[in-house]
Amino acid sequence: MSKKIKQIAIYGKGGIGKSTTTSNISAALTTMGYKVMQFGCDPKADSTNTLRDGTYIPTVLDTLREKNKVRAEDVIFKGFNGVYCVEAGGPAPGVGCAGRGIITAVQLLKQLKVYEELDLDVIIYDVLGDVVCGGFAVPIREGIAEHVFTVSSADFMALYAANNLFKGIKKYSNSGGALLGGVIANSINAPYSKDIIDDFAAKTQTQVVEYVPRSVTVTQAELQGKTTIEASPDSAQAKIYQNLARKVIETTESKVPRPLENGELRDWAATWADQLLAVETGEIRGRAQGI
Amino acid sequence: MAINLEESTVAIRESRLGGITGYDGDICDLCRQTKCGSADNRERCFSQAGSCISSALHGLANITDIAVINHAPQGCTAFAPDSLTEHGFVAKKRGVPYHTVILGTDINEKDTVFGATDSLKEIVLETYRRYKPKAIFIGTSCTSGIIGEDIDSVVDELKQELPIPVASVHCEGFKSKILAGRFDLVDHAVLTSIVKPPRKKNHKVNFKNFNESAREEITELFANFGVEPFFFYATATVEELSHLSESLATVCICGSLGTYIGNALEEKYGVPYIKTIDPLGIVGFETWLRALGKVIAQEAAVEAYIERERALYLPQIEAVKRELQGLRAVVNMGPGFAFQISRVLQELGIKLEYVISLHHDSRFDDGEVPAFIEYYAQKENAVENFKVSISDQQNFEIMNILNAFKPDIYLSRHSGTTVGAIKQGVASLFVGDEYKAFGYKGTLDFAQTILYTVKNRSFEKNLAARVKLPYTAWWYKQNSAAFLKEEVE
Repeated sequence: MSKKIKQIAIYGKGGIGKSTTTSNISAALTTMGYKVMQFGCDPKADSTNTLRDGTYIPTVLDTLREKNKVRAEDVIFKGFNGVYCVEAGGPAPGVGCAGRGIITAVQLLKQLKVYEELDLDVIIYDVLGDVVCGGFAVPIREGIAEHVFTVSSADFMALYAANNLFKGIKKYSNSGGALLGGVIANSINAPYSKDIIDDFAAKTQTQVVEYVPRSVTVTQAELQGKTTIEASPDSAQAKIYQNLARKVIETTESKVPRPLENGELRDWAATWADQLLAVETGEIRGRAQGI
Repeated sequence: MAINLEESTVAIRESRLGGITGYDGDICDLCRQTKCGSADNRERCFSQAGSCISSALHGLANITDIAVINHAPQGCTAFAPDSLTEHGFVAKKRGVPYHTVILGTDINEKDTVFGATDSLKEIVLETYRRYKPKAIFIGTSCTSGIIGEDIDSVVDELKQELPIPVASVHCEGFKSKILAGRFDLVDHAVLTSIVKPPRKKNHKVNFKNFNESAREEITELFANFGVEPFFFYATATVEELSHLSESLATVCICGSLGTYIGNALEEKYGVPYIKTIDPLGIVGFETWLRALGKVIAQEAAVEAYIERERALYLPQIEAVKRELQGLRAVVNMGPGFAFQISRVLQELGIKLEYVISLHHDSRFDDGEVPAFIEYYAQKENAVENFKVSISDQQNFEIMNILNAFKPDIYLSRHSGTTVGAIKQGVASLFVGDEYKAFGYKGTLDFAQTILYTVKNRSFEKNLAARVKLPYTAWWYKQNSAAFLKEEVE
């Protein structure tokens, strides 16, 4: 009997650092001895670039467009330390349906039954995180990922996207869908950022898995087309990613989050806006408020 | 109410005409609600309707020299063989050629992901190369609609490349529950691509209908007034349709069918549109003919005709009418016929138990309430109030109504439902021909057919005794409107 493969989905708003985080988790897991596949689910198809020296790989959908039958070797490519890289790809901006593209690509890979043949330990889906339609929710639906993490900064638009994801998770939670492992707090440097994200996690009844600070090490690694794990394995930032990877792989219990209603989210954001304004104008408030 | 022919499509009836598909009440209440703003819709919490407005493409294919290209997955074009056969028959009967083709672009999984406007364009160009149609219409589908295919840009490009009219028909099935919206989509496509401004006026009257079974009769009728009917869309060519704006008037066999093109031709080109009750039954025919006579300045000739025909037919109609007294009927048709046939039945002395209409529009495209509403709202015409259901092909409701009222006759323009009625032991008449009760002769024929239908009911009785219908005793105990939710905004 084949072993159970751990399937994880990482969502986040575009540009929030989700691919950087995911690639570093994948890279860190390979260094711990796991057999990992990273599956990019974004039409931009650049999720796995830093695992393959900054190069792009042919996507599942591009291959499907050119050939009637797609073979595993056409779309699965090895990257840093043996990590398997796959990109779903998608249509050109403004045409077709990117959501349907993710459905098609994910189903195709499942049908190829390569996961068992490759003897994988873990598959990480890196998904564009606004969950704007059914297609982007495929990885959290039944039979795909079990644990979902969301990468978010303390930026309100990123938290809005995370909240949307929580709605999606909640919706599918009764039908065998994935549950939420927690929030990966990214670009956490300003003191209030941590408080905002902690408050959001508390309000939505989830947890912060790790705080990842913005770091020039990451930028330097990416400019070389590499993950931090590969380029600066001994750096402080690499340690953070390793810790994060360990927590992610060791997650066994995920939960149903409590997404905020739109009005609730707006009101919650407004209270933080007031507090941040108070900081800027020099108003003195109590320490309990964390500013 | 402005008709906008600059837009690539026409708004659905729900928003344009206050159209509804769920209502249960009576004709007096429906008139009151309609005249006071619009009738309130009630959604169903269970529905079994099975058609959609994409059948606009079937309607367009009536035209005899065009290509209809359905930008859709293959199954959505499965209507093509039936459609071509049906339209081909009508053309053959009239003795005119029929060259229209219907093609599907076969949107597949890849097209859905990447979009397929490039292949659509290629298909259109190849269709023109092979078939040389006189116009090409591109229909949209649910799939092309959901993935946001930019059909209008393709149409704009093709207009530059092809020497014939090209138009889009935005008929995504999910847009509307009102099947009659398909008429408007066809009209809009024809008005925006084929109809030209008038060059010179002619002596024709545009006659919108379905299968033109009364072509000869109406041609003879109109000859009395020095005008000639132009029937469309069946057996019509693109060239003929381009002259719609030059006619003396537009008439239609069904108010629901004609509202968009009739009012558009009037508003845009000044072609008067006859908006009276429809020419079915004596009252309907005379009201309609007098209005037409006025528009074409033939009042005297019309009166002479009416006097002559009355003398010939009224005694015969009266004779049959005597045998119909006291019969009870249930009617199920689109609104253009349901509330006209109901009027004819009342003229013949038949009691209406229930009139079921596929939908109801509170206004037509001139912004006025439908003429039949005004007719029924007038006190003297309210022969007797009757129950009304607005029900878009909800057969379970019809079966419930038939079971509860057990009428002497069930009249429908949807042949499948007559079978259900017969299986309940109810004598049924399929009023498939839109001219069945047209004018004096039609009214006589209609009355006689009703009489023949109810006289010998042994077939219905025998069949009903041997058939088990799928409905439970529980359902028959419910009110037919049990699945209608409360009124919604």
